[in-house]
Amino acid sequence: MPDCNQTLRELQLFLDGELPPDEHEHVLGHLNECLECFQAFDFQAELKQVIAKKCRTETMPEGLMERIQQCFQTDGDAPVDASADA
Amino acid sequence: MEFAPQLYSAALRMTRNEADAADLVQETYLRAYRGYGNFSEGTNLRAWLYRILTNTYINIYRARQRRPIETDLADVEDLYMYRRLDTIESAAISRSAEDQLIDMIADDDVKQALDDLPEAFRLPVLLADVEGFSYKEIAEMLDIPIGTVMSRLHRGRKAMQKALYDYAEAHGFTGSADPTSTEAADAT
Repeated sequence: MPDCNQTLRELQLFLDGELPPDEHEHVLGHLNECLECFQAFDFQAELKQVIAKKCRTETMPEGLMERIQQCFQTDGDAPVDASADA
Repeated sequence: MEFAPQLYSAALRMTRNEADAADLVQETYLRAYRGYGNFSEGTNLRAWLYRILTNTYINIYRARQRRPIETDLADVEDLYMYRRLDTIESAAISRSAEDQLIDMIADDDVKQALDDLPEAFRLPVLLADVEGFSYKEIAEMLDIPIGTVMSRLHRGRKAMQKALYDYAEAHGFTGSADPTSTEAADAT
């Protein structure tokens, strides 16, 4: 059976989908047989999802979309923040 | 304009300030508009916009800070959170503490933990974990080698885990609040 330490070293690359296909399969094979590694991977995978989800909840300030659209209409050379000098 | 809300969320994590984030997104669209000639069909529009966002942030806002880029971060052990749980759960075969810990992580905790990372670590973690870009895309956006992306991600994530665990403890997490876990321990 492949070494647990080796599998844990590959955890980050595996969860990021950055392992070459054969190595990815190799880790999957180990996770199917080793409950301890599976639980560690499962926890990290869930944590990664939670972090992504909880950081995407910002709402754009009112008027920002209009500000962006406006600078397309008034030619790209308009100053970015004209209001600051007014 | 479909990416504007996403870009704003990312800009807010970069600048850590709403007014700067709004200006950064506006400037990003302006530069994208002017440079649209350089955009080649078939490449990923979202990745292209994020590259402009990242470059604009680095050029304008980092320069404004006039501070050396911090690349130092206290070392944290691997699987920090999970290892803490392992200690708590050693007697009981139960996933309750794990679920409890995950549930306890609030939106503001995640944002704070990310905001508190030094920039050299914050940007890779933001681009990988929140925005889902590949190592190669992140390396191109930040103009650093892929190996550096990997090591900064590794260290940045560990530091974030420690911060999140500390927040959970501050919110009262002990890992033993669930009475079923003691029953499971008795049964063994």
